[in-house]
Amino acid sequence: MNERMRNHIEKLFEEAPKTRKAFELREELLVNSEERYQDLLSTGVSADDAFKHVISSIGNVNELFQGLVETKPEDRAELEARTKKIALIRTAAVGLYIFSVFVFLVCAMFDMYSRLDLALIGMATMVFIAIIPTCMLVYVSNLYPKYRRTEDTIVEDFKEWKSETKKAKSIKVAISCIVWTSTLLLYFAVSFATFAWYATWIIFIAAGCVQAIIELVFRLKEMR
Amino acid sequence: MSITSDVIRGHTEPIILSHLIEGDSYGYQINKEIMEKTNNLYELKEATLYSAFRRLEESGLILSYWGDENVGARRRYYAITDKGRKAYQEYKKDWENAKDIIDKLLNNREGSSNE
Repeated sequence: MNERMRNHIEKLFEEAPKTRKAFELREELLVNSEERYQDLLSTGVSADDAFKHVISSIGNVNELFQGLVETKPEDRAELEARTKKIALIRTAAVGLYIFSVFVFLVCAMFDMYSRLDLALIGMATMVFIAIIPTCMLVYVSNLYPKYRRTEDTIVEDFKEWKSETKKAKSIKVAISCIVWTSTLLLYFAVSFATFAWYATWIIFIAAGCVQAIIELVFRLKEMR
Repeated sequence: MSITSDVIRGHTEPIILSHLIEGDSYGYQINKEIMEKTNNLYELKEATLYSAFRRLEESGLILSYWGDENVGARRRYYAITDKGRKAYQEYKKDWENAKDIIDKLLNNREGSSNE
């Protein structure tokens, strides 16, 4: 690619809205200009003249940019708002998970000073609190709207595939979250019930296996 | 020449459609074919060409896809839709009518002075 030409075209597009459409248009213009430039060179035109000719034949790009502004910004604003919302819910969910463990630990600490079985109450509270962030994460995983196809082209195929992959990924993250929370709960439950602390850590290895199986299931699904 | 290019520019969209009827193509190739057909008398500015592509795509007369050239730079190809074919046929009919009328109107004066 001729550097001079690339620089010139990139400069033209500095004014353009930063959208996918504009980016695609720039690529299209770059590729076509390069081909025209090479064609001119092969007919014996000097590099300088060829460059000038290609640049002058681009014409006024501002009329192009107008078409790019109208539709995109609201799309982007919506997407940004959604991304923010998802991040917020995720943060809150993680906070709640940590809070639930904290409640349990406090209960467990005061267990010996109380006649009540505070450890068990703490455990029950933790499981209860943990339900909320789990629901939140599942909800978030459904926030990615399924991509609706508008045209029957390869590009649309790709977009749909990407959107589905993203959705599958967020479901996978939610499932992993649930698995590891349950594992932690199970670990404490079994340990306090049996006091076999020396052996109960095996639960975590089992959870690792479960995680691997989930990963496998998702991969197989992707392949189909 | 400037009147000619103005007239031709007004017909950019059907010109593109007629090229795409012969097969999928991309920006530079269409422009090159236009130059060849007109003996280098006329060529479209890239900006004119691409805004015509966008308009055609938005009204569903053509669609675009990225080629799978193996090295970095990929071309953007355009293909005509059924709706595009219909629009082209209609456009052609309109053009024939308009051409007839304009020919008749211009011939009345020019024809007599030439003879």
